Amino acid sequence: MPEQSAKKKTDRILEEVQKHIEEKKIVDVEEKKVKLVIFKLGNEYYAFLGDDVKKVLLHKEITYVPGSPAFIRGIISVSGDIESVLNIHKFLGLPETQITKNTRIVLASDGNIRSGVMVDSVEEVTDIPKSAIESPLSTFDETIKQYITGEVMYNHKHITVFDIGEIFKNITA
Amino acid sequence: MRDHNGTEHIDSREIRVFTFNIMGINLGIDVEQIAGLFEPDKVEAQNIQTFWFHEKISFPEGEVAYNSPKVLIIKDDTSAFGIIIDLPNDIFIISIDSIQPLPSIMKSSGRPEPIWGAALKDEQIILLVDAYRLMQCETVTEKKMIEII
Repeated sequence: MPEQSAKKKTDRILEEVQKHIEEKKIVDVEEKKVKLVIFKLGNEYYAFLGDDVKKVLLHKEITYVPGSPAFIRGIISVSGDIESVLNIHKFLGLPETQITKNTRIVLASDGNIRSGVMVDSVEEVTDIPKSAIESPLSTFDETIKQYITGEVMYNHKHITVFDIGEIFKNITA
Repeated sequence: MRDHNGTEHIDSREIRVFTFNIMGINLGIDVEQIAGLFEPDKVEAQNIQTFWFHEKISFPEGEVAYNSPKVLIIKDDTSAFGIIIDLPNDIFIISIDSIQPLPSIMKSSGRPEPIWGAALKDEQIILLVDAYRLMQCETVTEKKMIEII
């Protein structure tokens, strides 16, 4: 009799384990993923949400527009369309860097506003679970914090995710 | 299209743009706003109010150097004024359909900007300048003084 009871207990535990595995599978399938375009500014890693990024361009000649604010590098032609290029280092108050062969222009948009953003390099475009993005730390400088949508650890790198909409909103306000 | 006198005609959807270059930036002004192009010493003698292009609109930090300055006399009913420009290039006919406004992110101030659009010519960007709007701008040094005050 005790043997039978023990067997039942084993069955019950196994059933529960199986159920847990099934539930986890469902959660895994349903977990929403977001695309991140990961880039570097100086030695730090940042990202834009993939939905906000239209193209990643090699660095090209930028035409400075006299009279424009210091955080606008100028304009470029992208397949015949004129696009602005944002100097995000200056906008965020980060140290300026040299243009290198790794420099890229990330063409981002939010609603009706679109602009290129010059970054030091684009490291990766990847999908991550949305839940992996955590709220930004309170240690960030207030000027930068308002543009951060969250933070994520990815491949042992700490990545700060920008909200391009907030950046554009501040510029056009 | 040219007539028998060699005069080039443009249709209503085209503008003739006089182009020049300052500090590597290609700029253009509608020929209809221009009365003439002169050497600076010729204009000095005529008591015409002139200003350097960069005095009215800010350039990146550092000196603005002119290699071959010329004075563009702007058509005006009341008084003549001239803009000192650099490296006059050519007159191009540009289709209005090919002109693009500056990106919205650059037009946040809401005031009429002297640079009102951009056109592509042989893959080069030409910034289109309205001479009358440029004239109305405070000089950059005045603007800086106001900001300091």
